Amino acid sequence: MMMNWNRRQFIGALGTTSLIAGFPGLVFGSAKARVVIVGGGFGGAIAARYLKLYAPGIEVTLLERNKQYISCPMSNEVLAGERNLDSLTFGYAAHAARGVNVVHDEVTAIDAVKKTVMTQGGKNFAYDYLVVAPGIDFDYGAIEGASPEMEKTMLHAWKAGEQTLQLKKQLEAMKNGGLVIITSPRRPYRCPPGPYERAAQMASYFKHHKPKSKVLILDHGDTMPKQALFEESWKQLYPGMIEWVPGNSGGKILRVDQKKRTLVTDMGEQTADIINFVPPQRAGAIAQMAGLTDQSGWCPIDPMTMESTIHKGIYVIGDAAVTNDIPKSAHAAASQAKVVVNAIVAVTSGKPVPKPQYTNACYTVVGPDYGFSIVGIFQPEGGKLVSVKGAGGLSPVGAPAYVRKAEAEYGYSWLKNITTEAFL
Amino acid sequence: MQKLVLAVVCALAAGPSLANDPNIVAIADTCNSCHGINGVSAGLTMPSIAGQNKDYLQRVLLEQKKGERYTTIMDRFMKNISDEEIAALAQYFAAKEWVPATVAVEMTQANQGRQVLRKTCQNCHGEKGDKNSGDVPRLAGQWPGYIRLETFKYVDRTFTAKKPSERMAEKVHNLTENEHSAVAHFLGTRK
Ligand SMILES: Cc1cc2nc3c(=O)[nH]c(=O)nc-3n(C[C@H](O)[C@H](O)[C@H](O)COP(=O)(O)OP(=O)(O)OC[C@H]3O[C@@H](n4cnc5c(N)ncnc54)[C@H](O)[C@@H]3O)c2cc1C
Ligand code: HEC
Ligand code: HEC
Repeated sequence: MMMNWNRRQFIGALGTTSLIAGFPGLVFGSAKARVVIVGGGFGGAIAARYLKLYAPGIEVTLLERNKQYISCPMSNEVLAGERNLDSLTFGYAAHAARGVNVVHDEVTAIDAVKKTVMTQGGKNFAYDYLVVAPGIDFDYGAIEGASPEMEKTMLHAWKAGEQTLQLKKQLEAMKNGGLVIITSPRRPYRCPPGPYERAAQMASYFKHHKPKSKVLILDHGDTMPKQALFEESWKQLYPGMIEWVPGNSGGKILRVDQKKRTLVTDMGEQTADIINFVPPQRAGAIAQMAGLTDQSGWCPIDPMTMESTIHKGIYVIGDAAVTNDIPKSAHAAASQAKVVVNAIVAVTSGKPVPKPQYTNACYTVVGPDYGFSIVGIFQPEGGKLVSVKGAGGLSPVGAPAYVRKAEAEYGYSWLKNITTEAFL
Repeated sequence: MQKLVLAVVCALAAGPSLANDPNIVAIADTCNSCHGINGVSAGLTMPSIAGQNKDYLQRVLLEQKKGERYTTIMDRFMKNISDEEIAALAQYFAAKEWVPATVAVEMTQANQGRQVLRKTCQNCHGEKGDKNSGDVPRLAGQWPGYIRLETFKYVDRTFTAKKPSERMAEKVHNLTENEHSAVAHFLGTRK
């Protein structure tokens, strides 16, 4: 049975903990529990925020390697020159002001038995509950000839930051009539609509600055998310500028030749003025090191609570977790963070855990005044997180311009509100 | 699991105290990534929903769920939420404090907007645009970007089939683009 979402289990966990030396006074119903969070991205930062909102007495430590967080959502607009990276950059001062113990350090190990987390800086943090939200790591090993060194010549820009700016510079330096290749990796990966939104944003830049240029998407998959909407918008906004090759038509990358700077697919060797190689992905490295991952490279969880099915007392949220039908998005990470917080707050205050609410909403902006969205509502079913039938869905195809404009504007407001929720 | 379902059912039957039910709060928190924490939006075009009157919220959410009201996204979000939960959500957000938007005043626009409000809107929305009862939501302090997107629906023919208020449509569909923007701006600057 998959129903280990109950109080008994939490009480059990706490019961044992309170007997361990160094944990005096921790009893069931204690509001003084210690929660450590690994990773201050959308998942981790929002978990910290809601813990302080609903259980100010809980001691929250947020361990994050970087002093600044750069939002991937809307970072494709940087490529088109529609916004700068500053508008996507956030700090952790608000968390500190609310009483979160923010520590900027690299987590190097997790001891699930002793319930401690160790950092590069040589510190140890003991926890009663651990939330692991490290995002993604790149799995270059999955493709012959690929390796992290190729980032020097083939950028990913799949973690927003320096590479986003470099990719933009490459676009600016490219000749009119040039070609860009974007690869869309093995599923699942962070932000399913991302590569196609990126293609559109690049085309948006080309349209105004080098209109003879083209974008070629080499896809591991046979379909793309929001397919009808993307295809409609490309045709309307960027006719003839974006070509998509699905996996079953030769889009799959079989091998990389770094010396020649080529990608080998069933169609033969491919090269371009710019290669934006989005690598295959897996859970952030610390999740691998802590043994939280399975053969898939991602972290299996109990869909009722996001608790690791490998190590009890550890909750994995966001991109790193196996979430079945739920895509890897910031919005989904936010909803998972709240599920975990609700569970921890309920248990530490001796109340029943509320029904978990898993939702996703993802706005895509393909150019100025042109947006569309997907909504998903999910629930635990048969040990998995599955889409609730009849709920959620896509923006309509063939919608009038006003609706596309409104959705782009709502998308910007979503960004403002979710980044405020996470960092401000 | 069994026990929990039972708890939810009991809570729903209990009525008034529903808004504090952790199951309802958990649903309400899923709204925050779009509408802002506690329903107070920081996004220029996303409506704040905290502090709108319960009747309005409940009616609107039900209309969205049933597809009786034009929305870009809310209909897709509400489909899985029961009518009882909607009643509780309306109560939950209605009980929150209204926090006005922060909008820098642009004098010429604001003055023009004040006149439009007096002439065309105040009968229904109140002298300051802050009437908030029955079928009318508060406009004073709402984001101008959102107000503008909403009033557009009363003008564009695409939306006539599912236009939210017949009685308002009659009054506002003749306003110029300038008048629309001005009144939205003025309302947004009110506290
Ligand atoms: C181009 C692009 C566009 C996107 N657009 C959208 C969008 O429009 N909407 C949407 O919802 N999502 C979007 N996403 C997806 C979104 O960015 C991710 O799903 C989201 O960031 C996942 O959050 P997370 O908390 O799991 O991981 P992250 O946000 O990656 O956070 C992980 C954090 O953990 C830290 N960390 C990792 N390991 C350690 C360690 N060992 N020690 C200390 N710190 C560590 C990292 O520094 C990082 O800050 C987009 C992604 C991309 C690439
Ligand atoms: C994905 C973003 C998103 C989420 C999540 C979301 N909303 Fe909305 N909401 C919107 C948008 C956009 C509008 C404007 C109407 C439209 O086009 O859909 C809106 C409009 C509304 C309105 C009408 C406001 C008014 O003044 O008339 C209410 C009420 C509302 N939402 C409540 C909720 C509640 C309650 C939830 C959570 C159960 C929720 N919303 C979740 C985006 C969202
Ligand atoms: C005849 C009465 C009436 C007049 C006049 C009127 N309104 Fe309204 N208005 C309503 C009603 C009723 C609603 C709620 C309708 C609904 O959405 O169900 C409403 C809703 C709105 C909304 C949507 C609010 C929200 O939160 O979604 C906006 C914006 C608005 N009115 C602006 C205006 C402006 C600006 C004017 C003047 C130019 C105006 N109205 C004139 C009755 C009126």
